Amino acid sequence: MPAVDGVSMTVNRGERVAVLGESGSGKSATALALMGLLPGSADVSGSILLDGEELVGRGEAGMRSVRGERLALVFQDPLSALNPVYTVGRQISEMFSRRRGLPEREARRRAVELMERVRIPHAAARIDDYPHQFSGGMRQRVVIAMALALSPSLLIADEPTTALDVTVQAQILALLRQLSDEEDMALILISHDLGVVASVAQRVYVMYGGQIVEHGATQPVYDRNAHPYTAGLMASLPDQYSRRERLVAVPGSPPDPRALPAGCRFHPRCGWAESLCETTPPELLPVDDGHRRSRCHFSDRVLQAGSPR
Amino acid sequence: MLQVRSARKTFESRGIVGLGRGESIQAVRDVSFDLAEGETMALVGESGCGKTTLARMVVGLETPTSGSITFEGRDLSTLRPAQVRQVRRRIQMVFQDPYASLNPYHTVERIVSEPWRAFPDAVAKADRPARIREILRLVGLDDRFAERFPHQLSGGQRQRVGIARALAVEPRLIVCDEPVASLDVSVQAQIVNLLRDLQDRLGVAYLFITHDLRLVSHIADRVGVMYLGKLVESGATEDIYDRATHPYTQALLGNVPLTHPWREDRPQFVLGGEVPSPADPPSGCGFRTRCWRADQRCADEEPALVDRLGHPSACHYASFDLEHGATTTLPKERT
Repeated sequence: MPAVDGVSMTVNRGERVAVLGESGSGKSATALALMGLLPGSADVSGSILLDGEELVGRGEAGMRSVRGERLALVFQDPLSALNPVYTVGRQISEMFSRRRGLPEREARRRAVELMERVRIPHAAARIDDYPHQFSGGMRQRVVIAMALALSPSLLIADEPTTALDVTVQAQILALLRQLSDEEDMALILISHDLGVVASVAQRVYVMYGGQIVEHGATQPVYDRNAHPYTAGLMASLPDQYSRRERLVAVPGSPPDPRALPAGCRFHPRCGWAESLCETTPPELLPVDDGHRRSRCHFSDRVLQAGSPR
Repeated sequence: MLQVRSARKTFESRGIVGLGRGESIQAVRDVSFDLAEGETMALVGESGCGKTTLARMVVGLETPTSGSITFEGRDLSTLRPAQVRQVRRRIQMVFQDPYASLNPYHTVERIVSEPWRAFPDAVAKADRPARIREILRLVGLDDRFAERFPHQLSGGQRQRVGIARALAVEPRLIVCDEPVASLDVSVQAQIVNLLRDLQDRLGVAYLFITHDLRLVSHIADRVGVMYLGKLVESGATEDIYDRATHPYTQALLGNVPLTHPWREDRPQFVLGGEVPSPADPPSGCGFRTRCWRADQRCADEEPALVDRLGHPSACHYASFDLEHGATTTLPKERT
């Protein structure tokens, strides 16, 4: 069963790009494919180029030298990324001692430096603390510090703030923005949250049913949706200015990847669908001024309407 | 209908990780509020603020350490067990994770009829099959769903089943604990709309527990904001959204990631610091360690939740003013 189907995306150095999608959209499978972390049963075809170098078909040993060094990943749950029986200092400094061969003392000094860079207060005093002694937000900072240790050119953050409270989420998002600027590091943010994506990413890929359905610079995609799914997501989002108004819900549920609808994968939930959509899968084609793409037979009508139906 | 008066809940530690034996956590500290028939009150706050403990006290899963909870004129703590059961029937709960709260081995029909085991006189045996289908239709599920198992349902459908189960004993109050937090965005709106429709049809009241301020304005008549076990601000939904005076409420509103940040004139701001441990709360005002207005008075004197500038707020320096410390810039445009 294809979890991800014909996904093409690019991210440039220093750029922040988001993959927006709901459960089963294929957004996390895309990230795992990039990292070479899909299970052996997964069959990845196509091409993944990092600084011009092919990653597909490198094998586990080949990927290990890329992971961490040039490509790093931050997951939703920081606890699962940290070893509970080692101090955070040891886990961060290992990146330097094991991978860079730095002497212990130097590695430890670099670990403190990194903890300061991700704004962990009293870094030098907390370096010998264990993960459980940190709050959720501070743990995610530790994980981000480990990801940054070897100065990767690309950081993939998969729902990095979903498990965090809203005030802590805002801190982590600000940190990711600052770090990508400071380090000139590319960032791929994977999120289901329209607001999180808007606050971080300059470009966005909207995924549905394992495919990219809309892509473009964040602001135009958000302001004038070219795909009915994006329009539906926008409309269903509660906002604090439309008090007590009924929300405009997208009917139905996201499709099961094992039983994708024929034709356009969104057509069973779509107010624009016609008989063409039930039989013919639409392609991801340029719309509007050509800087954007949408996978819908009626993109132009959707763009004109400016609201879902 | 519901009166909560100075409710307090303290958990004594028996030596769990991070806490010594004999230390205590004040999960809920002196919270009071009222909820009227057919009304929706939202309790908003971040993890550890006490909102879930408070909800659990209202449905009787926890007993208050002190204070009282009165429902339809009867103080729940003074009732005999048999009376408590009759009151409990009228207060039901909908949980966050519809998957964890539904028995995977039971059909939807069995799950929805579960409350009738505890309250056999709620619906006569002969009427039950028809009643189950009626309730399922009420939550937007047709008859086919009665025979299905939870794993055959989508997340949204499972939450509809959870709501149907709560409705089976015709409650007057439903406590909804983050009922849409684990659902996809496109499905959340369906459930919020369903809850509103049910309220219009059945006149049921909701105590709506959430961390998501965006949702609250679509469902709540009144909002209470909690921080470190206390209610720090409360009022009509408009009071909280348009005229918030407590810096924590203002921070919460300012921290919601905006969907169209380029359309807003207010900057997105970042509140520094973290929630202090409820085992060792700061003196005076609980929020002062993160507050840009705090001074010595806030450390010495705990602000009371009293009317300030039109609605209750627990801040010595209650103000509509949004000036604050850390602001961040919006993402730069890049083409």
